[in-house]
Amino acid sequence: MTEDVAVNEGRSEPEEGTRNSPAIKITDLSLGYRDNPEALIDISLAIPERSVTAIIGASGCGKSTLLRCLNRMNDLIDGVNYEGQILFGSENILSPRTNVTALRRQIGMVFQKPNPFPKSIFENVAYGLKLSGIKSRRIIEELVEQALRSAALWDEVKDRLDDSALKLSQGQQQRLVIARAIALEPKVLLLDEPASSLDPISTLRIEELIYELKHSLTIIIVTHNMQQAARVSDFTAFMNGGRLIEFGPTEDVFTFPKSRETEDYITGRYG
Amino acid sequence: MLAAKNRNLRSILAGLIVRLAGLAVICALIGMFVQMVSVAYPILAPSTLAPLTSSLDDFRSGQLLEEGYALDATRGVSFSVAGDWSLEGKSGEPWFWVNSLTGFRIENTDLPTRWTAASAVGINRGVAIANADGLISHHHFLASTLPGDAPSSARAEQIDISLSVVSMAGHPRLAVAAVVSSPSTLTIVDFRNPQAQLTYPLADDASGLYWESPTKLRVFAGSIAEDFQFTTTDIGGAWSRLINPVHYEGYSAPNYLWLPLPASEEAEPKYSIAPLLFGTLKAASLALLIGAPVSLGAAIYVGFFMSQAQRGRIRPAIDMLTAFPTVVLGAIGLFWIAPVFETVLAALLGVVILFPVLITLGVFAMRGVGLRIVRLDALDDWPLKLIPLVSVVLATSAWAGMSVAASLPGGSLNAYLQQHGITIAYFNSLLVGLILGLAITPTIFSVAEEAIHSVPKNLAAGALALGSTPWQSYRDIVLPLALPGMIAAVMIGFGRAAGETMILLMLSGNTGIIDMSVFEGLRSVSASLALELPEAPKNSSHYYVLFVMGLMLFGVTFVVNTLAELIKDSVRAKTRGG
Amino acid sequence: MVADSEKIVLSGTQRQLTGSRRERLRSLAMIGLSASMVTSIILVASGLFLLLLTSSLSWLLGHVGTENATWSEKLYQLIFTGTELGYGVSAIFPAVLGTLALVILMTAFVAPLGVATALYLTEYARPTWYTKLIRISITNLAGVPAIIYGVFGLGFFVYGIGGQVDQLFFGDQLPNPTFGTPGLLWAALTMALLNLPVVIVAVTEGLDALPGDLREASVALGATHGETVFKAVLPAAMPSVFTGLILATARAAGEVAPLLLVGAVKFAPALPFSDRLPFIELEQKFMHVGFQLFDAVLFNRIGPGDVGWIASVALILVLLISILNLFAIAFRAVILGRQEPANPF
Ligand SMILES: Nc1ncnc2c1ncn2[C@@H]1O[C@H](COP(=O)(O)OP(=O)(O)O)[C@@H](O)[C@H]1O
Ligand SMILES: [Mg+2]
Repeated sequence: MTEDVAVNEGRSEPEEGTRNSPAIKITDLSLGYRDNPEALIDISLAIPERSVTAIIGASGCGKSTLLRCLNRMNDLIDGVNYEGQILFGSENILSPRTNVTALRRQIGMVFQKPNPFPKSIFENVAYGLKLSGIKSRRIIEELVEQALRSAALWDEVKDRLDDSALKLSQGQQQRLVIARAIALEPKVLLLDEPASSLDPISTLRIEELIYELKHSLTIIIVTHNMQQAARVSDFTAFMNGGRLIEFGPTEDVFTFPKSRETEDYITGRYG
Repeated sequence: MLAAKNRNLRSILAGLIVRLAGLAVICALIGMFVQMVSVAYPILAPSTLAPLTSSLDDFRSGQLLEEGYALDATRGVSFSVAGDWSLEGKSGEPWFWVNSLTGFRIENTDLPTRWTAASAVGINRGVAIANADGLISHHHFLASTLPGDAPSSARAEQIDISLSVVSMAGHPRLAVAAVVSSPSTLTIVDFRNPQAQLTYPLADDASGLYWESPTKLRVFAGSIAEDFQFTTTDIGGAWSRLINPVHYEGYSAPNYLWLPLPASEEAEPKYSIAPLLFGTLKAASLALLIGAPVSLGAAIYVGFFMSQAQRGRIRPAIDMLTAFPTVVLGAIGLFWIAPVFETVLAALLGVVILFPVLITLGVFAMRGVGLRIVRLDALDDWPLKLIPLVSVVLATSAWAGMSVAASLPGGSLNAYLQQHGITIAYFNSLLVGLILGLAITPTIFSVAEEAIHSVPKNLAAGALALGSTPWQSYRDIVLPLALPGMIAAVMIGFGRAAGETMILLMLSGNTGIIDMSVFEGLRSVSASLALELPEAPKNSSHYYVLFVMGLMLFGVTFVVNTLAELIKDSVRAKTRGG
Repeated sequence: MVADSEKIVLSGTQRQLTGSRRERLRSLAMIGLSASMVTSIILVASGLFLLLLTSSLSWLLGHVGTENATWSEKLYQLIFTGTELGYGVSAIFPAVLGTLALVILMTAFVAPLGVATALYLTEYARPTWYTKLIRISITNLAGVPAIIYGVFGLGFFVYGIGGQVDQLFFGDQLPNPTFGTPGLLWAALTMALLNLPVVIVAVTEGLDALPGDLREASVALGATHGETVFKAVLPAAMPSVFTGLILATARAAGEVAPLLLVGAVKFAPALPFSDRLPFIELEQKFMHVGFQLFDAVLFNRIGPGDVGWIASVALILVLLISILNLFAIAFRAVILGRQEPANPF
């Protein structure tokens, strides 16, 4: 089966990732919510370009929070406070001067629960393109098709592009949301437990998709699922209690965890 | 065991009582509607004619002829019609106006000269003239403004009963005539409702008739008299008279008039509810024009841009204004706004025109100083941060409006409008709309905010993650979903404005006219109900018509609210799906 | 947050970000405009309140109107001996008492009936299309104008039932009506009807918001359906009952329109209380703060100095209703406090 090949290849490539320069460099990042002042504590991490980085850890350890920092989605939450630095290229993402709308076009995000807009399938993908100022209908159509193809959804929806996106299955919706994000050709794609609400087959398709996409962009995926992390990622970051405990090539983290906590977590899950 | 049985019994009893009470309340609320319909129904009922079982034998017809009705065509008739003028005529000869003071005789060319019966009709001294072919025409007259001139004919209506008229008697109060015709038939013709003729077969030698009372008609044949009961309302079952323009007696053209309690005995009560419906609509529309933009704007901010915590504080505060007693708003309008309305109007115009521009410029100017969309939650205190800006902008634009008004040719808005033939009434529609707009703002806000807030946040988050600005995520994603709810909010606001009573009562001037000008007063259904219902005699036509209007108001607000509710429901279902 | 001064320009996108700056400015302007609407509402509301307050205070403390009266004398007159002011308006105190009598009587009708109906709809009636219809209708009746209830009250209570009562029990006094004329009882019943939908909606909302396992837990402990409803469900929904009742009270105190038809007069011959059971004179006409304000404003010749008097009465009414509302808000906060806050992600 093709999935198996993909998984094997994914595992066999970590060295290639280390060659990559960092796409995002996090330095001393701390974050507090109003009722949880220590959601992230002193996180420093360099995420390699054109690779898949998995963030794992127990529920509530701050994985999503960390992910949301990378495209400033935490700005939506009341009373968030953060300090530190996140370099994206040469710019500090956390700077108040950052052009957040432009930033988010380059660092796309997909949420845990599929959130297609209550519009047509076509409009869902076209929306981001229109936002970025593309007016030509022809170009938009072309890019929508391209994005849907990249998200491996084109064949399933090409005959009903004008149907409401809400008619799609959960798995299709999630791929549509990914298509919507990659239509903007972002440099980084953030995936927050993208498969946790999906059935195993849809999950597999998402994983395939991740494997396909990593050749053109940097992917950071939060996941609860150890096997999934092991299957799709090149690098793994393990978090606990708002701290980054360990970061390294997935193979190393899973086979020779440096820290006791990591080992407990991984073996706990496996065992 | 016994205790358990007791418990069960108590439970069943409690259930029974609750069920009974619940059903009783539901029945009462339904019954309320039914009761109002049953009270209002008689006004829509047609007139009726029924024989009474009493007869008089010693009846002398000569006595009757002297009563003044049903006169012999060949001997000639005379009706005192308008002021000093009376109308004299003989069949086959022209009619003459005769002035009782000066003795002037002026020929009237409008009335038919060949006739078999003529009679004064109603308290307005109209005249009905009938001929042998069964054509009955009803005339009434307008007193001339020149003292020497005879009255002019104002209206002539024809009803064809296709039976040769023998004798005719006009109703003492209403525009109704009873006709005896050959072959022997009694017909009641109603000039208010020409289609509705009531007929009854009579004995062969029936020759005359007269009204003993407004409800009792006496027809005689030789020395035998037969009595009839005539029941009708002031509109004679013609409920088109409630809505369509009516050519009332004493007026030169059909008109909408609401004068249920005419000043003089001689005038008929006038029940056009059109001006009241118009007034209600006008007031509610103006109120929406003023209240809707403000409340929807505020709802967008609180429902979408504001944080949960801050929203939890500001929403109850605005909700509280929903219960602000409207009688107080009315008093404020009466004492503090109406006396300086001209100034307020100039200021208001200034604000409407300048406010959006100045605020936009102000916000741009404050960019980087205090206002910056760094984080969405940092938007929280914008309403507070903007207090100085908004105060200054309000003051500046109001001042600008007032100074422009002062520099108009004429020196003031009032004088300027007067030059163009517009007078601002002291109690005018705009004043009502302004205060009513204040009253409904919290209501619209409350419903619209709910609709906007209930759109799932993850949709907006999805748009933001694609690099939309906060406004774009609202406009493109949230607004389409919230729009039906916002429309529902406006509808509910409309219903509230349409039913509001105290403000209308105190500020509208209560003038029942149909006039598009916002500077004229108006009279609303609600104010009419409040003012007239306590005075209207129970079971009078006036009482019924008021109930009809109450029902209409009930129906309209109920339907509008139901539609609003259904819209909200369907949206709720849709957003759940997303 | 890092305070860095470096200028950040995110560049190198494949897509031209045309219009982005314009969109950001538009976003700022639109948010600013909508925020300014909130500000405007706050400003206008507090402006009106200040208007009443300053007008009232300047009358109490200044020398407009009655000469040589200190503020305490004026306050005393305002409340107890209004007529001596020479404004042709009566004192506030009996009006406040009349309002209270109305509110108490109305609550006595509306509380049991409203709660019973809500319980019936949520706990007893099986959910079918017609219970749904009834619920929607009741919600909508809450939006039917108050004057309509007045019209109904006049036609049904005053002329209908009142007329019957007179014929049966007070025949000797006819044609002078005893109950067949507007009075306290009919006003209270009309207000009760007006407020029933409000209370029913508030209580059903409260009952719906209760966790479903509350009922299951109670039944699992062996309670009968009745015990579940009255010992578990109803006590848990008490805050919503109070919310509904307080909203009703506020409305009864502030809604004047129906009273024009079914009850209040300016000079009631006596207070609607008596020393004999049931202590309330049900057929009496009574005084009401809101009505008094309306009456004073519309039907009396009021000089410029009397604006202060009007402002004071208005202020008393507004404060009365605001206090009632604050209670309702506090109770509602208790109810809403149970619900989980929403997370945008
Ligand atoms: N919107 C929020 N407001 C307040 N606290 C939050 C919010 N989101 C998350 N938290 C808290 O921050 C911590 C980390 O949450 P999260 O990043 O969602 O964890 P994970 O994704 O690893 O399960 C948790 O303790 C959580 O309770
Ligand atoms: Mg998470």
